[in-house]
Amino acid sequence: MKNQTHFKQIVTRLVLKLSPCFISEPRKGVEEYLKKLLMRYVPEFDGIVISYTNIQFLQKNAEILFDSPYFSVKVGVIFNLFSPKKNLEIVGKVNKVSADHIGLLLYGVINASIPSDKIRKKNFKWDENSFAWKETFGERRKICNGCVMRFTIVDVLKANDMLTVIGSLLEKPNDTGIIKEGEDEPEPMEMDIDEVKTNTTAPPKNNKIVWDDNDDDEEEEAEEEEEDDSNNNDSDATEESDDNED
Amino acid sequence: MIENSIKSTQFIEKSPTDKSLIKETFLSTTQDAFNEALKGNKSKLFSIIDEISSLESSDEDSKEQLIIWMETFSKIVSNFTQEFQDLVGIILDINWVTRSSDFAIVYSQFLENLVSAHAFYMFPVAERLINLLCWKKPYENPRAKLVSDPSVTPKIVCDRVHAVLKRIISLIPSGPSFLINPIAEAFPDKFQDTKYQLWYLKNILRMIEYIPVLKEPILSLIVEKIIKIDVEIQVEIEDMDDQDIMDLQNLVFKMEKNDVDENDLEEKHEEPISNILDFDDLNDNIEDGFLFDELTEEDSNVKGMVEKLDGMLNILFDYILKLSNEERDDMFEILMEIFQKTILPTHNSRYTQFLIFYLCSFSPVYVNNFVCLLAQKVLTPSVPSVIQVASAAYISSFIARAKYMEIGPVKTMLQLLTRFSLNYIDQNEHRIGSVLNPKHYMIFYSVVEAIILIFLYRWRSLMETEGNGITYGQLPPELKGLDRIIQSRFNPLVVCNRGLVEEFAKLTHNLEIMYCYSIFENKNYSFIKKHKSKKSSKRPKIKMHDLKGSDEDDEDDEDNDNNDDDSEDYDDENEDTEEEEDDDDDEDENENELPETLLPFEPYQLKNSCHFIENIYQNWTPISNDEDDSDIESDVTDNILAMSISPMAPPAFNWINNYPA
Repeated sequence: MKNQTHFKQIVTRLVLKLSPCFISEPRKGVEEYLKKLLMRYVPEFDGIVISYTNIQFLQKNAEILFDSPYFSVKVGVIFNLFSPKKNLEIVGKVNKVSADHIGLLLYGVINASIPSDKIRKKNFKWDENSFAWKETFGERRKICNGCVMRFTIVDVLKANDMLTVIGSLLEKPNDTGIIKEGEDEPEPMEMDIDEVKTNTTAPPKNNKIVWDDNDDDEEEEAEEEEEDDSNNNDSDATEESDDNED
Repeated sequence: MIENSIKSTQFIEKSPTDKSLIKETFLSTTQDAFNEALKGNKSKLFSIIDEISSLESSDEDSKEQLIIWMETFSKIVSNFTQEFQDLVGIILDINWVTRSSDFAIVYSQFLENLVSAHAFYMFPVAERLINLLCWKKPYENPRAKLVSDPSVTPKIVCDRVHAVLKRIISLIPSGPSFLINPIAEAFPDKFQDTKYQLWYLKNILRMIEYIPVLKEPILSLIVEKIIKIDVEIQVEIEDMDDQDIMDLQNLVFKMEKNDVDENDLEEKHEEPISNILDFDDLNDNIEDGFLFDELTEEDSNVKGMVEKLDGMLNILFDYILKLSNEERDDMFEILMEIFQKTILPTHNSRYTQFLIFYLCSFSPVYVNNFVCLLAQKVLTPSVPSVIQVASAAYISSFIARAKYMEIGPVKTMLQLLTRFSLNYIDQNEHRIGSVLNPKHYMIFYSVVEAIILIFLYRWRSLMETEGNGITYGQLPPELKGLDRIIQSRFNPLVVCNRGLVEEFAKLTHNLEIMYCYSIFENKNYSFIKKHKSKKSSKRPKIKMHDLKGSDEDDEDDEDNDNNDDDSEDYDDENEDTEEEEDDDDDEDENENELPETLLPFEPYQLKNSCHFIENIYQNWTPISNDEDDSDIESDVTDNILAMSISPMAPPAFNWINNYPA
């Protein structure tokens, strides 16, 4: 259990169809494509792409098939992915609380939420006055914005190209809970959207991304075909490029 | 049960305790409905959906009840899992943004809770919010009038949407990457009214302020939209005949009155019209815009497009103006990217590039970077030749027109270009066979044209030696070798744009530098490959519009050597017809013409936005005063006799006023 991590590395072989404008610099075309994957949940990889490295062309030649203007290249790429595992704990920072849920950010970017029925009602109670979840005994710490918590991942939802982590405090009550209390910055309950005095700042970036440094990164071999037709320059461009690649 | 509870609310006098009681009931029934639905019995859930949609569509004021519903939903927000997307969809479709502020507040809190608890709703929520930024979108629903608060103006609507978007983005940092698609989709298409375009444009520019990541994609989206309209206008205009164009110009573009009569071409009484409309308020401009009843459908289409282009550029100029220095640096970099990606390869765009022209006026650093970028394109052999030629045109036109560009970099550029041409000659001259096909050496000719154009516009500062006035008789040091270029076997003076060459000849002659008429007037160039060009409406040519008066973008012809009435040879208008007739003329200079090269920075004629450009734009200053007569021969003799190089008007001087009547 201890060896498990939410990050993984996979070696992939991709077949990309690149637009003719990259004919002289296919690498740029590949990178352009890969850039679009960054911070996206990619179902085929089952994770959010954090980075890619080691782009290698696996063939010397690119193929142009039939009358398609695109040329396809085979590339090998190593992706680093964030792919949260169920039943594993993770640390997140609270960025929104309501009577019914706790919203958190993992590593400053990925959203997680703990619905109220997954909160240990024994330990925490919604306090309408301070607009936060409060410990029912002990130090009576509050769960409010900025608070750092550890929780168990019970579900990972993937919808609309997004990945949302559903957390729980019910399992492993000893391992989960508040790690560091947030600076008390109660959110104004009545926010007046008509006067733009909303002073929301972007949530402070969680700087200390701790990579669980295990060397037994899983290696998967994924092969997939991607259609890349998004590079359409449909402005009335007169672009000429020499039409050969060897 | 739910119905009952709802109905009851309408009869109960709403004392505070009752209210909280009602809320309790709502909460428990809704929670109940969700639980039941998860077990498979969705009937209660459906009745909630029905209730909400009937409340939404009811004619009576359903605000109170909706508020309670929204508060209830806020409290059970974690229940809105994927299984309940339908319900969420209905809730999201509630018209909230035009209602009174208490409802809007409750609703926006619900939205926040929703996306915080279930980040995947980010997409539908953002999509709807962005749609609300379109002009009139919030009011489109016929029922909206009934429920909306009359005090909520479109501006307030947008403020609300922006406020909510901002908060949502702060909750979901990975959200912005999902926004650009809905933003692009919601962009009003080019056939929609000007107001729609401008309103939306302003709004998405505002989004950049609080979602800086979107700066680059939003700006390139905008430029793409603008350039599409721009090109479309040029295409439409190309299809028109001259009369239409004149009509249109007089109506749409900011025009110095152009006399149409061919015989009076010289006697243009041009009054610069300074009717720069104030464009401070969006509303003003649109409401009392121009009315052209007499325009045909096609014209009005163009007219609308011109208005759009004008308005959009105006907003962007204003945006650039108001940026802080750092933001502007940022902007410059982004624009350079966009320039390379979109503007430079786009043929026939006429106004879009003025964004860069304007931005460059803020710092010499920008100027240098821009010019260097272009020079690099010209000099790099691997760049496609179309881009090289376009870059050369950009360099020349930019240096010629950018009043703010200092002479130092101009000299450097000239040196660079001259050296490039000389090298080119050294390397390629021996390859020319018995027949010269200019098309194979496009880049060379475009660079020579660039040199000539820059010289034509900048010769005063180039020829000046430390306060001694203008030196006669020799080329400025930067142009050393130009004579070699001209006399090379490439024969640039014959191949290059005729109007340009003649002006150059006149200038060099006046300055006692060289006498080139003999070179290009000799028609015996059988060794140059002729292109029997089809006389279509599309004419390959450099345009030298305002040599003779600003003119709308159109073809310009130089082949009227047999037409003695026209002195200037560059009148762009009216000659198409002649052209047609002259078709069978055996020696037609046009046949040597290179494929079309357009100068990107031609006089800026959009009414509303021109005041941004006017002061930084170098107009053409005629070379000497004695040019009001007919053909070149007499011109030459005149010049020889008079040798008058009158003290030149300073560059800032508007030549139109100075024009001999």
